[in-house]
Amino acid sequence: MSENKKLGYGKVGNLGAALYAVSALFFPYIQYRPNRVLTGEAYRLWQIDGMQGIIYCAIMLVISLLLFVLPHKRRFMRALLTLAAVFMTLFSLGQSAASLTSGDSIARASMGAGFWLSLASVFLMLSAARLEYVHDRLFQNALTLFSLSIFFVLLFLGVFDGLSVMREYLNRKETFLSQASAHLILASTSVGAATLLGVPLAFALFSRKRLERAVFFLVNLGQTIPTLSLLGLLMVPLGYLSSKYQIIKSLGISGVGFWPAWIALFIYALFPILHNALAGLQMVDPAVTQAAFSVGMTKNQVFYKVQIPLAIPLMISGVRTALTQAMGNAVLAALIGGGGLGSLIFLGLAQSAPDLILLGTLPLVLLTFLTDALLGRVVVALDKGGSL
Amino acid sequence: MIQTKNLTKIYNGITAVDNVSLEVPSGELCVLLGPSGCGKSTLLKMINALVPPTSGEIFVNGKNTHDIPVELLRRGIGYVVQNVGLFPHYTVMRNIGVVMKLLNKPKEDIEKRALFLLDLIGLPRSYASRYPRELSGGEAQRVGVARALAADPAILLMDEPFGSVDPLNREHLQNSFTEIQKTLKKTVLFVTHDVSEALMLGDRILLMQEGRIVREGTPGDLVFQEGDNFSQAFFGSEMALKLLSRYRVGQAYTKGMKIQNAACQPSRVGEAIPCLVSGNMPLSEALSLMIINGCRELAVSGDGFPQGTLSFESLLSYFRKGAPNVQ
Ligand SMILES: Nc1ncnc2c1ncn2[C@@H]1O[C@H](COP(=O)(O)OP(=O)(O)OP(=O)(O)O)[C@@H](O)[C@H]1O
Ligand SMILES: [Mg+2]
Repeated sequence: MSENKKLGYGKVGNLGAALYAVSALFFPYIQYRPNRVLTGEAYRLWQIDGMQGIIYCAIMLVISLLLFVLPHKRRFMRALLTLAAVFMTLFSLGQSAASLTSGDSIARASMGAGFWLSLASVFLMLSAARLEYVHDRLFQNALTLFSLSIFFVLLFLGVFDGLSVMREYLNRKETFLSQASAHLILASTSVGAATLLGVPLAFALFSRKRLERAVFFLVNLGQTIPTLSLLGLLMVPLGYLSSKYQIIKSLGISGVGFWPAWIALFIYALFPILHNALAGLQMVDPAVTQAAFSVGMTKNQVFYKVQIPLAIPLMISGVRTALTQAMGNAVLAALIGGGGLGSLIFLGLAQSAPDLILLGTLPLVLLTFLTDALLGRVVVALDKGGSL
Repeated sequence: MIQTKNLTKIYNGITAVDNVSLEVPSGELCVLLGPSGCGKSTLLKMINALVPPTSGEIFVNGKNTHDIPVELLRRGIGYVVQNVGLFPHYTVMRNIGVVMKLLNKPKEDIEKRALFLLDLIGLPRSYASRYPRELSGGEAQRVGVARALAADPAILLMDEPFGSVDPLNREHLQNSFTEIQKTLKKTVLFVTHDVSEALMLGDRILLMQEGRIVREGTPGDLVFQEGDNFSQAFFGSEMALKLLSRYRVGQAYTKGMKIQNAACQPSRVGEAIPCLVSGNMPLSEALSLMIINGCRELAVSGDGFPQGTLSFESLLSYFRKGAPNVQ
């Protein structure tokens, strides 16, 4: 088929557009429960409140159809339609939830399979849209940013307030915010400290093979212990130390709470950071280092002008891995009283309140995604030599 | 001037360079020729203080390199690394300008010089903003040459600088390098394992074998005087043909002969017309033209040379007493 006659997205986008229509038509979009713990009934999008649901559904079908029939070269139109799809997925969810639970403060509405499918299909379409703009980084980033801001604007406008997750949030706003920030602090400071130790340590170990092996043995050992066991293992010596030494106790360090969790996360973060920083340094082609000497750079100049800049992309991707991992692992901190979003999740599990679990999980997923994407951009921007 | 005295390098029991004493007088282009693994690169690296000698001494411009801070020594030497060694995170422009930058030259000077050198090595100026990964092997190698030339050092160490450049561009580079060398008269130690390149470029050739210098002399000497088995084998029986590319038609032809006599046999060209060549043409090309066109004589004219002819006989008589020394 010739380039001009081709219609629609590529395979990925078409799959997304098809799923988008299917999710709106056939899958239960929203789950309604008369109260927090009772099981409820599922609604398809067009079953909601007379005309409203039908209109949303129709709009989504039109978007999907247009994506299929637009000539191949109208990629900008398709990008706009994809953003519209993002909007509709989120907006119709919020509106349906609001109309199902309006005036009833006990009733709960939560996302159904249709919504999740719709969201997944939107991701597919977004990645297809980004793929059509491979050579236009700026536009790619704009697409991602626009989709995110659609979500945040709707969130701040209160469109989702009818959803049970938001009700949980509104009920315990204070706790949520403090736990979320505790989570962030736990993950970011432990990874930050691991970076501060790991990167200089990598420099120190660089080209000292013996020492490197010894250190990696220890770090690997920390890595192989499961997170939960590590937390448990740390409780004993820390508890002992704090009961024995007043100064440790007065620092707030004990067998439970923030510090054991922090130390565990720190140990976990150390491995990817150290490993990548060292790999980054070792990956620098010896021929390049020699060339740097050959043009008359001093040892320091070779280090700062050649070795570090070439190693930095890999170093940062180590930090990126560590941070993603720490965000997830920090959930377990709640088990030993370390706080964080895990405390919402475990509370939700204990109360069999799925909305509460979601309230702990969704922000976590979003935050992890955001930090990961951000650091990913940094890596790409710094990777001038194109080694990654 | 570059001078080494009894220079030896032993790597874990392997003698890479064995008691080498050599001298490259100022302004001379000296070629270090030898098979793979005979220690050419090692010798160059020792002169640039990248590799410490096991024993022996090195003098650059009369000074023992031991007494010069290595950075200063290296900044005064243009060094073309064998495996290119461009900085992957620097653009072509920054790569070329790196030594000037280390010498704290103003930015405008660096940029001007980089663009000039891009012209010289035959790369488009738009390449200035490219990164090394966006260059072909040969292009990268030429940038490596430009980097060595950038700070206008009096001494150049070039380790197979044209090794991965295609034949056409290599010839262009070799020619422009000979031209530059004629005017700038740098002291060059030029490593190659390509006999043609050595015979074409070198004022003098040092032949290396297993870490030792086994023969030295001008290209003409090496071709016309008998050497040992290794030398004969390495230079090959075509060496006289390779030597021809050093010389120009203008050096060997007979002036004043009527060019009408220089008629080609109608073997290739349809009718008998004189084959007209410039005095600047290398003799190797002239001979090739004779063979292709089946003629014993070529008409010479143009480019400031008085009219005349180059015959096969005049070619032979030009080399009757060995290879003439010409610039
Ligand atoms: N760092 C090193 N450690 C041990 N041996 C080395 C080292 N560098 C070179 N050698 C050895 O020294 C000898 C000379 O190497 P060198 O690189 O000087 O050869 P070369 O003449 O430049 O060869 P080529 O034409 O292939 O570049 C070789 O046998 C090589 O294996
Ligand atoms: Mg070599």
